[in-house]
Amino acid sequence: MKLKTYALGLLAGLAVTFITATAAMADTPTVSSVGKKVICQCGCTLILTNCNHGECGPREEMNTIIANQISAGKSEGDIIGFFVDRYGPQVLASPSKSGFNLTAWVLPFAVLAGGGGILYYLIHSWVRRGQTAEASTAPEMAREREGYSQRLARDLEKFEQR
Amino acid sequence: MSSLGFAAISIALAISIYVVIASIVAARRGYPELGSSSRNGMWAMAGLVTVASLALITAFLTHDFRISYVANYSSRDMSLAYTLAAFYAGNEGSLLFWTWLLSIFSVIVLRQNREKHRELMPYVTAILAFTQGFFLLLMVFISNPFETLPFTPTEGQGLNPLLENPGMITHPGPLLIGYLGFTIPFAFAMAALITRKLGDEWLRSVRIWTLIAWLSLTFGNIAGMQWAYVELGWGGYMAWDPVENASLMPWLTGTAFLHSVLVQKSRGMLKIWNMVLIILTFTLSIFGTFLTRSGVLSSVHTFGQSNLGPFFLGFIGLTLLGAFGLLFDRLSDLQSEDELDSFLSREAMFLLNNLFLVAATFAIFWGTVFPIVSEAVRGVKVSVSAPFFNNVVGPIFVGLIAIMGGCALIGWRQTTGRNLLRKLLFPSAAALALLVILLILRTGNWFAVLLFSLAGLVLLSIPSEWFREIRARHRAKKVNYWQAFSGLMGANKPRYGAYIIHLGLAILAIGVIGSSFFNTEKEATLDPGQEMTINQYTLRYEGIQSFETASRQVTSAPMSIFNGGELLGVLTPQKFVHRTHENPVTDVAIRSNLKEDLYIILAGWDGDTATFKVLVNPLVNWLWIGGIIMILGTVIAVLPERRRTATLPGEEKT
Repeated sequence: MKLKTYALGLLAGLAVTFITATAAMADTPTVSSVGKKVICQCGCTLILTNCNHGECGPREEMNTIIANQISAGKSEGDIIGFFVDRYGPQVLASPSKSGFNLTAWVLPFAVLAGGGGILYYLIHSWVRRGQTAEASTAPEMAREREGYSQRLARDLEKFEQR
Repeated sequence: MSSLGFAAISIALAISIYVVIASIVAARRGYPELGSSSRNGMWAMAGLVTVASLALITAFLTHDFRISYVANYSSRDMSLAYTLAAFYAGNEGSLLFWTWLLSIFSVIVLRQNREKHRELMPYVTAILAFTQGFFLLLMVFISNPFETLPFTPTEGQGLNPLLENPGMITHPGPLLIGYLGFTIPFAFAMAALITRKLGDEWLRSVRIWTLIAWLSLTFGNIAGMQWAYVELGWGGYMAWDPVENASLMPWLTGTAFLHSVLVQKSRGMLKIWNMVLIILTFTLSIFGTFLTRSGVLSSVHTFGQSNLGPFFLGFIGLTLLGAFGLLFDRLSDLQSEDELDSFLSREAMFLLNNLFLVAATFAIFWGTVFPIVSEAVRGVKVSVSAPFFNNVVGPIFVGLIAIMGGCALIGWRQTTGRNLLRKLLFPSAAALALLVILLILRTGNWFAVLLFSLAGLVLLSIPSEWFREIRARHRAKKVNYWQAFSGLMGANKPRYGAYIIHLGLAILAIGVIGSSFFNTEKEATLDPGQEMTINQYTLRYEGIQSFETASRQVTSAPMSIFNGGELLGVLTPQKFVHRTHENPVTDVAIRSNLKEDLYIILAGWDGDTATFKVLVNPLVNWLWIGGIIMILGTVIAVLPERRRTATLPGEEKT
C-alpha cells in the first residue's frame, strides 16, 4: 500500500513539474532566438546563427534586419513573417505548422501513437492467449505453476532482503 | 597503377557475377564443386579488390596526379595520415573503400562458417557477392577511381581544408564499416528466409557482426560529432544535416534489432519483426550512401553532384521489394513459438523500446525527405533543420531514456508490480531529490531539470540492479564483493556490457541536455586591449596576427582568458585560407573541462578590429565520456563468453 501511494505521488509530482515547465516557456525575441529559426541565405543551408563563413553578406544583412526590427518593437512572428515574404518559405528553419506542412509535424507522433496502439493490442492478446491456453489445457498444472511462481517470488524477495 | 587498379576491379566484377550465379545453382542443384568454386571466387574478389585498393594507395603515396581522383584529393604538402585518409575522402575512393572492406569481411564470414550452415552459406555468399558486384559495377562503368587525366598536373588540389582534422581520419572509416557491416546479418537473414531455416542458427552467426557494425556506427557517429564540434566551428556537434541523419537512422534500427533479437533467442518470438528490422537497417545503411552521392539534398558532407543517385535508388528499391516479398512469402514459417506472460516483462519493455526507436527513425527519415516530398506534392521548397528535429525527435528520445530506466529492473517473463516498485524506490527517490535540488538552485529551465532527473534515474537504477546481483552472488557463493563482481562480469559479458552501454548513454544524455539547454553565447567587436565578458569569464583581445605556412594564409586573434582576475591562459581562434581552396576555414579555440567548454570563434576582422563569437557550452565533455563508455561496454559485450556449467541468480542470459 505504501509503495502504491509512493508511486502515485511520484507520478503526480512529475506531471505537475512537466505542466509547469511547459507553461513557463517564455517568448522574448533576440537576434539569436530569431536567428535560430531561419536559414542563412548564402547557400550554406545552415541556420543563421550557425553560419560561420568569413565574410557572409547575407548573414550580416539578415542579422541587421533582425536587430532593427527588434528595436522597432516587432515580435518574433512579425520578423519571421518579413523574411518569409522576402525569401519564401524556404527561409524557415522548420516547416510552418499549417496546411500540408502539418504532416511533417504530426505524422511522426501519429506513427508513435498508432504503433503504441498496435503494440498494446498485440501484448494484450499474447498475454490473454497465453493465460487461456494454460488454463484450458491443464488447469491443475497452471494452478500449481502459479503457486510455485508466487512462492518463488516470495522466496526471492526474502533472499534479497536478508 | 591506374591500369592495374582498373583491371583488378573489372575482373572482380566479372567474378562477382559468376559467384552469384554459381552459388545459387550450387545450392539449388546440389553441386558441391560449384559451391566450392564460388567460395574461391569470393577469395579471388577479395584479392583483386585488395590489389585495386593498394594500387590507389600507392598512387596517393607516389603523388601520381595523372589519376584524376589523386589529383583532386591530395597534394604533396599533405601529411602521410591525411594522404592515406584521402583514399576515402571522395566519391570514387569511398566506393572502393566500401567494397574492399566488404570483400574482406565476406571472406572472414566464409572462413568462420566453412564447416557450418551448409544450406545457408551458398545464399549468404550470393548476397554478399551481389552487393559487392553492385559497387564494382558503379566503379567500372560510372565512377572510376582510376580515371586518368589527359595531362599530368604538377600539383594536386589537396584535401578540402575542413577534412584536414584528426576527426577526418577517425570518423568516416568507422561509419562505412558500420554501414557495410550490416550487410552480413542482412545476407544471413535473407539466406534463412530462402532456405526456410528460420531457427536461431542464423541469429547466433550474425551476433558478433551486428555488434561490430553497431560499435562502428556508434564510434563513427560520436567521432563525427566531435569533428563537427571542433572543425565546423559553429559551436555545436549535431546540426541534423541529412548526412548526419543518415548515419543515425541505421544506428537506431540496429539498436532496436539488437534488443528484439534477444526476445527471439530467449522466447522464439518476434521472428517477423526481426526480419523487418534487419531489412530496414541494411536499406537505411545504403540510403546514407545514396544521400551523400545523389545530390538530392544539400549537406556539408555530400560529395557534390554525381549521377549515382538513380543507381542507388534502384538498388534500394530492388532490396526492399525482394526482401519484403520473400518475407511475405515466408510468413507462415515465422510463427511465434511462445506468448508473452505479462506487460511487466523485459520482453514487453524491449517491444516498447523498439516502438520508440523505430518512431525516432521514422521522424528523422520523414524530416530528412520532407523537403523533397513538399516540392514533389506542392511545388514549394521548404527547409527542415535543427528546430524541427529538436521538437519532434527530442521528445521521442526522452521517452527512450525513461524506458531505459525501467528496462534493467524488469526481468524476463514477469515481474510483479510490487517487486518493480521496490527496485525503483531508491533510484526514483534519488532522482526526485535531484529534481528538487536543481529546482531550488534555480538552474533556469524546468524542462531540462526534468530531463536531468530522468537521466539520473537511469544512472542510478542500473548500478542499483547491478549491486543487487553482485550481493546475491556474494551471498550464494560466499565470495567477497570484488570476486562476485568479476565473476558476474566474466560469466555474462553481454549482459554487463549492455549495462555499461546504457550507463554511457545516460552520461551522454546529460551532456546533450546540458549543452542544449544551458549554453550561453555572446558576440562582440573589439579593438586590441578591449575586453568582453561571458558568464564568469573575461576575455581580453590581444591583437590580430597574420602569417603564412607552406600551405595556408593564417589570421589569428589571441585572447587572454581571466576568471575573477586570475589569468587562465591564452586561447587563439584562427581563420585560414588554404592555398588551393578559396573559402576561409574557421579554427576555433576551446578551453574544456568537465563543467563546461569556453568556445571562441573568430567571426571576422577589419584591420586590427576583430569580431568574436563566444559560447559557453556546459557539460560537453560528458557527451564524449559517455560515448567512450558506450564503446567500452560494446567491446565487453563482443568479447567471447566463458563456458559455464551452472547458472546462478543474476546470471541469466540477456
